Amino acid sequence: MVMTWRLGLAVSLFAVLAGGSAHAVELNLPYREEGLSRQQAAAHLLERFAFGPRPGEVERVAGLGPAKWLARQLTGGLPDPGLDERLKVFPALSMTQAEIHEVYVSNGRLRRRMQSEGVLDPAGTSRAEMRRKMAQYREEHGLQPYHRLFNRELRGQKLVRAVHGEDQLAEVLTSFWFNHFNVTTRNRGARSRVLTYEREAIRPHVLGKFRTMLGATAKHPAMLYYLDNVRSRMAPPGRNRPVRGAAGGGTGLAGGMMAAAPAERPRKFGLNENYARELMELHTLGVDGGYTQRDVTEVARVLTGWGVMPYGERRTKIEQRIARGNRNLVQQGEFLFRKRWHDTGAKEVLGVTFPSGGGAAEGERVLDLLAEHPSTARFIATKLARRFVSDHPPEALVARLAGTFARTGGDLAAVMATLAQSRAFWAEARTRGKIKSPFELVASSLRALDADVRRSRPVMQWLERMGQPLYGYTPPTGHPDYAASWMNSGALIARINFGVHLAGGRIRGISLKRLPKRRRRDVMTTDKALAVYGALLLPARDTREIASEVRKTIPRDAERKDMKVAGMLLASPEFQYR
Amino acid sequence: MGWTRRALIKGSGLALLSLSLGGTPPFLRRAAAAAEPLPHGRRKVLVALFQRGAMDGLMAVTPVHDPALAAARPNLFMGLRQGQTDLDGRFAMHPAFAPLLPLYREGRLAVVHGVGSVHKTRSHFDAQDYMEMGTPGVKSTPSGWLNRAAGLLGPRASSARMVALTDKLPRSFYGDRPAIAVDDLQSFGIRVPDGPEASERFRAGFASMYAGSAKRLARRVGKESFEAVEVLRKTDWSGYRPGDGAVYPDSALARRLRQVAMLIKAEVGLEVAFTDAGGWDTHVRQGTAAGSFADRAAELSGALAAFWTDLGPYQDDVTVLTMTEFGRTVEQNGSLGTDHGRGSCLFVLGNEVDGGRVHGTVPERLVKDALEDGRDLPVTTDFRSVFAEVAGKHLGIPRSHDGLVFPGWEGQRRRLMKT
Repeated sequence: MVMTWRLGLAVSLFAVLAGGSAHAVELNLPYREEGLSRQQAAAHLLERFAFGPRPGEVERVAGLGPAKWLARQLTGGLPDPGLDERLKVFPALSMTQAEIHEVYVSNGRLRRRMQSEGVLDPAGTSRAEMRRKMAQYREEHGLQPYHRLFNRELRGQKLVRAVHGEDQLAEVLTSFWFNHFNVTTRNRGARSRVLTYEREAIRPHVLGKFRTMLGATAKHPAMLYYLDNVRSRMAPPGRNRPVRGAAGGGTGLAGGMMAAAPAERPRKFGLNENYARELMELHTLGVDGGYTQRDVTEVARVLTGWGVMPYGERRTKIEQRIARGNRNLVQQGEFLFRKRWHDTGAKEVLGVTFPSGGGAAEGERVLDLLAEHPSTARFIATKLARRFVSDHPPEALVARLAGTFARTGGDLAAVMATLAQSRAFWAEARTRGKIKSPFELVASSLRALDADVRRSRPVMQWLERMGQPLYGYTPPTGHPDYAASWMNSGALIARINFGVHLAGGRIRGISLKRLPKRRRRDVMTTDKALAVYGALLLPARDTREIASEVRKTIPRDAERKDMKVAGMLLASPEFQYR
Repeated sequence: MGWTRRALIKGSGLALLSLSLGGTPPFLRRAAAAAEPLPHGRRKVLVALFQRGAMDGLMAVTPVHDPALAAARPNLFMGLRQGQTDLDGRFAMHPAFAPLLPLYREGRLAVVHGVGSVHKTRSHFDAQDYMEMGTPGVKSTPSGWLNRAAGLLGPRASSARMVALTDKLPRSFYGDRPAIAVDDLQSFGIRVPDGPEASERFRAGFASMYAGSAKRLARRVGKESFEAVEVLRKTDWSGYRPGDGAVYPDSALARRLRQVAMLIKAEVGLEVAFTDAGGWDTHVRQGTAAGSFADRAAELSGALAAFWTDLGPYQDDVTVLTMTEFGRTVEQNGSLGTDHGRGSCLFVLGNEVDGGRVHGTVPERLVKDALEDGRDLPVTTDFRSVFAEVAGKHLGIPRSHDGLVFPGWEGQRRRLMKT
């Protein structure tokens, strides 16, 4: 160990990456060059590549060696029985999309179902009676309320993974990539599919190839609904009423939270450019990535027919048609290609010609083109550098990351390895200029105080107040990743109150092993508490300034000084940054 | 210094504040606030009220002599005989809005009918977002229309210029200008579990901690935040009595509007207020003179009428604008309710409003051919032309700036204000 350390901390390890290819990740972390101790380096890694340190973790990572720890994280897939046990309370995690639809049923859908089965007559039943009958029906048929799927399970599992999971880098990256390929539970079509979207299109690919993730998101129903590609279709001759883009008006025929299908639904045929545009602007090339409006229209034409397996009877009908040998329908899991909706004319995308007569494979080729484009390498490099290094990352770093991305064919673990080996990354440990998102604030607080998360709902309400409704951000841009977008008066007051309430034991569903509610009064003096909680919350950092404010604020005769001190540290400006 | 401070802390918790903030302790500040002129003075205030869930505009303000509407709603149609109150010989108002009727008769309350978005989405979330962002069809707009409007209101901004009486910051308020969301004025600010005195102490501690931070952003936002907390805490809200004998009903909306009135009268520099009320998504058993629609309407009208009375002499400063994301189907559905539609109506209340009239366009007969997509009240007035008129005229934003408030919009304001 000492040998390696003297040799400049070069650790060479083999990481097996998704896709089966094994290749060497040569990690040489230049933190000494930036004047950091091994402890400080460990703390910096845990703040940037994890959701913050747990008690004693800085020492553990320093002991293991930062490079060794990072190499393990870059491999991912660490065995984690503790986490598996905790995730058992979320049954939807192991259900297929169709099973989820069967089990999690909204009141509106339940009412219609009961009506059609003749067991409920809404017109002739009092509200109280209706509620009772519906509850009974749920009980008998093993149905869960729809909102439980996203309020309890989707949101709950995210918090549990961030707080308790061992695969920290993968989880941090899952947040990053979900935000990059944002979808939201606020979209009606996407709502029931966000859980499988994260599970299948994002999390498995965050240390794999960019192209794989891009393809998985492009074909996932959550994305196809959210960005309207399900509505985009070639017009049959003579029936063309084009609908262009989302802004032109008239793309949405979606009903709302409880709407029954309208009696007469006017059929719209035409291109919807929404996904095609965001695919280039937000997912790959970037807004200045060198595509034109013509490219947007052409990509939209390529993607006509990319749709979704419906639920219920319509699904059965489609499956029957496929079984009977219908060649216009191609099913891949929840993805459905409808050849008759596909525009088979010739197209040209970014200067590449697609001859007429193509099918679903055209879309795959367009995704190849976009993933391999130099603008994509730059755009992804910039976003990763902004997330992991600084709001305004140095140009040289972006260029290096883009170089790795291009050279490795979009190998995301390799890009992260390049980032961690840059001096720019380690130089940041001194300024700590990245503000924590509300979720990062919450997760790092809970980790530092060794929390046990039993219910996530109360925490989710705090997250909304702080400006980050989890899985509930509507714009396809995702949350902007710079400090000013997270900081405003209301949000800061909420952050401060969160810290004080958490430490005071006032957030339900959470207990803190390092700050138990039941404890003898005045178990600590202010100075003792500053030492204990300073080490847990702001490890390897100079806390003298904060400590002096804390001493001024907490009176000598205060009760539970440990809670008050921890609250002030959690709410301090220092703890808002990583 | 350290010794002196310690001695003072021991002697009195409050003395600490005067040292660390250089100010006066809160009880003294409150006493002083009663005597001294407040820093901001009276301002014009726009109060925006979002009716979430999509209000059935055709039940709120009904074209009562339209046989096509009566036929489409055999169980829900309300004519004059079912209790609707005639407004102008053509339209009549739902009886649960009765508390607003005098304001309509006095010419202070206007109705605009057939209002909605140019974007056809019938999803609540999308439509609410588009309306609050002020950019129908564009989801990537980072800011809300009220924040952009507030940005055009001149330099002497109070940190309490934009206050939302909501549990989280509404999209309308997203943006660069400081905006706060408060669910309860009395509890806004730093709240610690040990009571108000401890909260004061912590507030002072955090103000000082953030003022001394090495991070520029933390310093700036900290300053803004603690100023807003200061401004809102200057007044002793607990002793508030509504003016002119106003009696607020017991509802969440009434409590919120009461607090808007408190803020206005406290002259803390409020210029844009926002609040919302849910429950308008009446898919099932919507009811007629009684029922779920009537309950929501009574809650809204009772709270709004009390608010207006309470304002008293401040009425001249205030305009209230209601909004809802879309309307509901002309035809009733199979559950004695209505589904998501397109056009609805909204209310504008204020002394400068060209009131006592139903503005806007509703087809003579709501027959299928006259409806949008064969099912809905057509959107004949773009909500932006109403918002731009009301906010623009009341707050003094010139027409030439409408494109800054509503990017990409090239329409005209719809005349609704007298001036």
